[in-house]
Amino acid sequence: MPFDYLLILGAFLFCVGLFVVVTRKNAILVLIGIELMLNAANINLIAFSSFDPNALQGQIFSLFIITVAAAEAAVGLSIVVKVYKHFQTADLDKINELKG
Amino acid sequence: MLISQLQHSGLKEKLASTSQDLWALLPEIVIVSTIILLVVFDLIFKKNKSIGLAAIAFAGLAYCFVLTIQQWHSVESSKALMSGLLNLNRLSIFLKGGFIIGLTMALITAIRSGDLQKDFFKSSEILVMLFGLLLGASFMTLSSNLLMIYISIEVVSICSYILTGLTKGRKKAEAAMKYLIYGAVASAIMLYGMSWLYGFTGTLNLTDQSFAIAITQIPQLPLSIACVMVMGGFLFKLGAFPLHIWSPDVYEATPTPIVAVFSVLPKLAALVIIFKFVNLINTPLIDWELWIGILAIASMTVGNFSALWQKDIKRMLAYSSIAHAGFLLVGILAFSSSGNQAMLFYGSVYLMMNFGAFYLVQILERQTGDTSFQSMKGLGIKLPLIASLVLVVMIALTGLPPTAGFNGKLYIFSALWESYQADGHDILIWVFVFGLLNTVVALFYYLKLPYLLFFKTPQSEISLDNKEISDALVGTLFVLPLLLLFFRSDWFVGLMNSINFELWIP
Repeated sequence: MPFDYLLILGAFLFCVGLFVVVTRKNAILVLIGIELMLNAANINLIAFSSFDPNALQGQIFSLFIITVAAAEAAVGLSIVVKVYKHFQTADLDKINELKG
Repeated sequence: MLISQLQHSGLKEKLASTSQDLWALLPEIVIVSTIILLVVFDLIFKKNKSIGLAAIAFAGLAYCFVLTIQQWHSVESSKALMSGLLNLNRLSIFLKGGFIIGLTMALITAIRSGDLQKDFFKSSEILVMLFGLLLGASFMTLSSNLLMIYISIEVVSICSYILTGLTKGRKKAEAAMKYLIYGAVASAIMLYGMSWLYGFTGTLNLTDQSFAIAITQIPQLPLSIACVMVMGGFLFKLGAFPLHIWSPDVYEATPTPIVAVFSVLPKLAALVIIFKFVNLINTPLIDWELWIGILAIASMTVGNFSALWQKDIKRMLAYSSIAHAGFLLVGILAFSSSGNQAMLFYGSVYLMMNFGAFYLVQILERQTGDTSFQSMKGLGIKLPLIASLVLVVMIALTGLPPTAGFNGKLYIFSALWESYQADGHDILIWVFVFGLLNTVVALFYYLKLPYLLFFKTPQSEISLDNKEISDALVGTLFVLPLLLLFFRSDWFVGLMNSINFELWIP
């Protein structure tokens, strides 16, 4: 597969992720969008890693990203549960009491 | 040592150097062991855990502080650790010491917080997360590698999300949700930028020679996009414009001792990372002075003007911390050794001011039950000692004599003026003008609280607990350094002079 395709795939995933984050109102969908953005970075790192054959720093980096993303998703979903207990909704537009 | 060089040496030498470097990470190892001890203690004992947990926490902090002082004396210049993943120098050791002092002050605030104390020391959860935050923040000051920067920022972030949402409450859940979403998006954008930087240079190590060479050979547009993205993640942790939106909500909802930690530790650690990043990406294609100058002006102005019409003290302090982020960026902007020292001086004074301010807010909150300006009216007559300490801290936050806040602003702006004289970049003079104007604006909202405390009559009768003397005693300990450093700032400046800001490893 040509190298360019990988970068375009990464950029596409990043844009889709950002679009989902900005337009969706459901907190869980926003978290999914964030995952897409993180995976875009993963694809980029792994693609660029082919120019770094000795150390493979990009691949190591992407392993760390996958791990941290899992932790972040766990914390995120538990906060969504907590918010749902108080607000009976996961709609971000309705969770808006702190203002000023 | 460069990673490429290490490739050729054997595994045995690598392991030997790694285990050698572990000794330099002793303070961090102590933090980790404290976390483990706290968890184990929590598991073993069933009842009355609070005294034991507090004892473990304070002992861990004290031991860590002693080790940090020892490290200060043994490290003279920058030293690469773990094959270049970390970069130990006096700057990071100094900040680590500051962070430990700050966390201690936060725990003391929690102990004196009345009801909240039960939540805080009931189980080990909050303490473990606070120590995790300390660990992440100290690794942030150490790291010079994009991977390490990302991991340490995430450690701090995830601990912060949990700390925001951990205690019960509708507002806290909402604040945690907002914090998490903003933070995760910021770090995802930062990661994408980092992946580009890795693609351009072929290395993750910012202090690597090949990074410095490769960074000069990239066209302007892609390099600028990558740098904007990476800076986005850093600015989020710094809480500077334009990624400051989360901070007022989070500050308002979170328990006060935890907010005090949020407002200092991640902020100063992110400042160090921005300082390293800006100085290591040293290419004429990116006009850092212009970028940082605009960010500093915008942070100061947005922070100060939004703070003017806040109705809640913690919200006001959130906007004030945004404005202070702008002032801290001015220290980077000067690009000179006096600017770096001024930045560090301002950072240390900021640490003391903020922990002092949040301590006093916590004391007032304990008396009235909330933190709105409305409920503070007339408390000064009943609590004269506390109220006068509030006055001193607010004067320090404004940046007027006789407090160290004045010295901090003086040093930072004289360093800026020197740089302007040296290179005559227009943006510097604009930052100078906006900085001075903003100090005047700041006067109005900082002095609002002392004004309400002293000159208004209370709306309803408030029942006070008779703990003012001991509260004031602790408060004096927190506030005294601010006055002391004004008169004897040369003590501190001497300490700064022994710090080597050189980032390259010989």
